Amino acid sequence: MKRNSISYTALRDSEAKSTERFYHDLSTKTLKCIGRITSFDTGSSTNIAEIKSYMGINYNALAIIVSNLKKLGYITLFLDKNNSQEVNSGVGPDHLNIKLTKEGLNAILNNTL
Amino acid sequence: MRSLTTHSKAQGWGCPPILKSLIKISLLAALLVMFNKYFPLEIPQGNNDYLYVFLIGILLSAIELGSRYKDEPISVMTCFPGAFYLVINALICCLGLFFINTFGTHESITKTMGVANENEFSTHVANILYASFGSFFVMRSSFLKLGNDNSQSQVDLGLNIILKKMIDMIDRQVDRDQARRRSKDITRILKDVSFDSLSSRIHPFCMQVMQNIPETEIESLFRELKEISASDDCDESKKMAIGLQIYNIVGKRLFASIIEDLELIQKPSNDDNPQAPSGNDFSHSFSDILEQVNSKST
Repeated sequence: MKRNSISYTALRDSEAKSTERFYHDLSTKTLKCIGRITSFDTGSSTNIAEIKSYMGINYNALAIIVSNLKKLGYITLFLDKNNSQEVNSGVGPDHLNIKLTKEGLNAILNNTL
Repeated sequence: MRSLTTHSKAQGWGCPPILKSLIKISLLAALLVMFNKYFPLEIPQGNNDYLYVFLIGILLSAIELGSRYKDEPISVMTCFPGAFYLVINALICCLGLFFINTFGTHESITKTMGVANENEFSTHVANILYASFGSFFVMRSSFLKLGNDNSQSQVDLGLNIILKKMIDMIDRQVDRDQARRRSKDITRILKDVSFDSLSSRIHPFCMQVMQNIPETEIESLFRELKEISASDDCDESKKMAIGLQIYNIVGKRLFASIIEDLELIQKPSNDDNPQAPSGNDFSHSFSDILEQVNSKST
C-alpha cells in the first residue's frame, strides 16, 4: 500500500470517493432517522429543525442530503400552510416539512438506498 | 507574516524536539561519565553481553513505543514514562541473559542453526540473541484467555499481563504529556488561521508533500475531515479538530511550516463587515430547495 508519491488527480479522485461514500452513508442514516421520527408512516411528517437536532450536522450537509433523497424520490418536501405564500427569507427550518414516500419506506425496509 | 511566526518561535514551539532529545542524552552521558569517575563501573570480564542485550532491549522497546505515537516518536522515548518503559524492557532482557547464563545449555549458535564455524564468540552471540528476543517473546506471551472477547472481565493468562498493565499506565502518562504538548502546539499554530482556509487548502497540500502515507490512511483522513466539516459544532472547535487530524499525520514542524508557507495566518481585523455565510445558515444552504418547493406550491 506504500507509494512514492501521489498525483493530484489521484488525490482528487480519492477525496471525491470518500465524499461520495460519506454522503451516501449519511443519506441512509437520515432516511432512517426520518422514518423513525414519522413512525414509518407515509402520512405523517417532520421538519428540517427536528432532523438537524437528531443528526447533529450543519445545514450545508443537510441540504445536500435532502436534495439527494428528494432526487431519488424517497421524500417529499412541502412548506407549512401558514408560510407557503411567504417569501423564502421568512421560511425557517421549522416550516420546511418532510414526508416519507412509499419508495423511501421500501428503501428503509429493504436497506437498498 | 514572517514576524508572526518568529514571535511564535520565541514562545517555544519552534525548538526542534530532536535538539531537546540530544541535550537530554548529552546531559545523561555527562552524568554517567561523572558518576563513573568517582564510582567506577567495572563490568566483569565476559559480561559485556549484558550491555549488548540491554541495548537490543532498548532498541526493540523503542520501536514498540515509537509505533504507538506516530506524530513525535522521539519525544515519547525521551519523556520520563517512556524512558522508564525502555529501561524496564532492557532490564527484563538482561534478566533473561542472567537466566541463560545460570541455567542455560551454553549451546553455540552453530548447533542450533547449522552454521559451520563453532567458537566461543558464536556462543556469546547466541546467548545475546536468545536473551533479548526470547525475553521479548516470553514477556508478550499469553497461553490462556478466560472469558468472552466482548466481556469486560476477560482475563489473559500469561506474562504479557505484566507488560500490558505497565504499558497501560505508561500509555496514560505519556498520553497526558503528549496531549499537553499537542494542545499547546495546535492552539498556537492555528491561533490566527480561519476554519475555511484550513479546511479547504491544507489537507490536499499535506498529502502531496508527504510521500509515504498509505492510501487507506489518506482516505480515512478525508472521511474524517468531511465528518468534522459536516458536524454541527462551532467553527473554532471544528478548526481545532481538523488541525489535530492533520497534525497527527504530518507532525508539528511540517504542519507549522505548511501553515506559514501557504500564508494562512491572518492578522485579526477590527472591521465590522458581515462575514460570508457559514455552513450553518439555513436560508443560504436551503435557498435552491426552498425555491423549488415554493414554485411547486404556487
